[in-house]
Amino acid sequence: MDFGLSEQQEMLRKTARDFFKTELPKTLVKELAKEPKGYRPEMWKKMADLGWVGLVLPEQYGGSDASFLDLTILMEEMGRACAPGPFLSTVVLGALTVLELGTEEQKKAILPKLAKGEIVLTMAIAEPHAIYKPDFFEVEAKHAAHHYTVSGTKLFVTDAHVADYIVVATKTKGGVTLFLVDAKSPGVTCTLLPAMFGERQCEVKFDGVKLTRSDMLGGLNRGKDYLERVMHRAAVAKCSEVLGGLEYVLEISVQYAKDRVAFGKPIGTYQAIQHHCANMLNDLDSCRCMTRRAAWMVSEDLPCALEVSLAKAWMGQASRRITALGHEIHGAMAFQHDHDMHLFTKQAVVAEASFGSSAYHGEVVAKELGL
Amino acid sequence: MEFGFTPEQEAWRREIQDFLKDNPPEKFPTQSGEDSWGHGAFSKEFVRLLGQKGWIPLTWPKKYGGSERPNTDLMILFEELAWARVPWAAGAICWSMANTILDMGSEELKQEFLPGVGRGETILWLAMSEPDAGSDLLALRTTAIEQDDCFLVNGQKVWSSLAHISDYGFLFCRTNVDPKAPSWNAISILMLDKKLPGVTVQPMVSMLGDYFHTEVFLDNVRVPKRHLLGKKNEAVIHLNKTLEFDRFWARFPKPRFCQRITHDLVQYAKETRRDGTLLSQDPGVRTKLVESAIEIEACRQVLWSIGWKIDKKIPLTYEASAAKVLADDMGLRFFDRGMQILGPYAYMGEADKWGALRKNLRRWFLWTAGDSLAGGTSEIARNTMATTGLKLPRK
Repeated sequence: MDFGLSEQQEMLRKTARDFFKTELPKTLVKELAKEPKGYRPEMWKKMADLGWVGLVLPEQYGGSDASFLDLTILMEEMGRACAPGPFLSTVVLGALTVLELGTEEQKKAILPKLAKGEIVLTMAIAEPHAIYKPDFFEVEAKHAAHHYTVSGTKLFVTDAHVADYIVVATKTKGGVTLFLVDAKSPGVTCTLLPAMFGERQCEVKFDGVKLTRSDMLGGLNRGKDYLERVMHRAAVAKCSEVLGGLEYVLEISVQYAKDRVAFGKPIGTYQAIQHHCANMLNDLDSCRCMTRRAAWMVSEDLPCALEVSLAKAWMGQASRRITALGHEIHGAMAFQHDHDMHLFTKQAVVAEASFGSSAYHGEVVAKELGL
Repeated sequence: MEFGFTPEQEAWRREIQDFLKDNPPEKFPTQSGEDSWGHGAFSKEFVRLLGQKGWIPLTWPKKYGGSERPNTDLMILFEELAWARVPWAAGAICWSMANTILDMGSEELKQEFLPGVGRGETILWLAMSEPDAGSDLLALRTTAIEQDDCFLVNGQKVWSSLAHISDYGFLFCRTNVDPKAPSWNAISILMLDKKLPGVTVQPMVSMLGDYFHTEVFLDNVRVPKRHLLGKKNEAVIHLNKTLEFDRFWARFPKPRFCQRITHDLVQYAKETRRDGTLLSQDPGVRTKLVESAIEIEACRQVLWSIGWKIDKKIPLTYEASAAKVLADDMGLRFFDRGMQILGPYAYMGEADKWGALRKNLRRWFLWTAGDSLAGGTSEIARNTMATTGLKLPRK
């Protein structure tokens, strides 16, 4: 039992915090949120140069051999910085999938370039009538002669608008199969969906996209079990981002409570405000414990369906409480665009719905309880 | 970071489980109907058996009968006892007071008290609150005036938990009666022998209809000077530590206890039909059970992280107060949901196999009305979190 960070994790955290402090002021976060792309490729390149995009990849593919747990520490800092860009998509959804399921040829073709920041990946799972449940997929890969033809619509595909490759989960005869699709293939069209925040989600239409067996990841009908692993990783990564954001929310709220004087005293002297802060602290601590334990279990490749869902469901609820209290403490101030508080409220609300809502993960918990 | 248990820790957990299988908790006679995250009672016989196993002084130095095991082992023990719902009320409280003796007691005092507590033969109670001093403990008025080889004690304590079945009170009293003396430099702790002339213990009937708290009247009680714990007038300096033990350790077993009840409620829901539907398929019931499971585990993880800090000797600031607030808030919601799941069937007869669950839930639910007030109110604990943890200004 050890709840502490390793020396390396502390270092990674500090480097990341310093980097974002200088490179990404919140004014820039707000500017980027208005741009269609949503992030600056120059900054992406710098992040790759720091070794972050390839962090969890083996050295032979240009990575640093770090653990998934290390990655989540970095993602906490990204959440704190509200860092825009296709990091979760490229690394958690894309790189780890290619690494785990790809042939040597696929790995060599994709991973080194990815680690250098030259290509962006994402994964298409959800559909209009199937939110992460493969049994209800309608996007189908039909086998004919020497190729597969993929047709149908995927939703909430993060960062597909800038992706070079999309891993698409399709229904195949007898199961679910993953394909690695060049985003520029004929028949692939991508439309940006409405955004709450700096996040970029897309609808991706596949209209008779022709693929071959060599585009498959992990072989025919091997997708279903793997998707569960993807969901675990993605849900934990989301929790880590939000955790970093919430930590920042508590910091700025407490600072504001110390600075802001009302009725002749700092508002932090009033018990109503003190109790709000104490409640935020308890929620934050429990989010941290739940998230990091789940991250550790994913990292160690232990059975973790229950722990991941406990963390994601709790984060969904606790993040709402923390951000609501953050607004309460800041008063009308935080209602303004100039303030940073709302960035985190939006981050939390989008994250709650991503990779399984609290209700979705609550149902997983119910099953694990034996209900 | 590492969230797993070592093979030794797993073996320790199994050893406790085997012991509990050989000594089913329900076979022991009980002297009090209090819960304290046990199955609803306190049994001297059971606590003595724990003492014989050497499990009460598990973490203490060898010379006081301990085996110097790490806190983590104690946490595992507490979790297993809570899961088995053993009748060990006062166990955790007693243990936390013994730790204060270890921390600030003279060698003589340690020799006098620790072996008995360790064997489960000496039971301590915490005599802090008074009619006009609760969360504002420093307002206490019980006096102890030095006279010959004694302290002459006069005053009244209230909410003294289980004093009627305990042996020694952990008595907070005013040893500097100069009204100008600052409270932080006027209060001491005495080990109060209940058998001394002038001590009257009057059990109080709780809203559950039975005894847990007592009033203790102190009328010219002569407490020998050697029973002064720590330095005279310096109890307040140690108060945070004592409260840390009480707030944290007395709550540490609670999430695991609640997980056991959740387990029982899940089983109940899977076997019980209402209006043609299994309760386990009723969306409202499912939601309540799931919300409970998630919240309990969130609380449990934080308590483990605090235990880890204690183990690592990382100084605590707000954590013991946080543990109190988290666990007591969680319990309030949990038992409330439990009652809602049972609905009117909470008041059905007790003849069938779920009778005990219904009866206990009714008790536990009522018990939670006192939870957020015990160990300092949750409001005071939140103040502490805000001021000592987050450094918000006091004025």
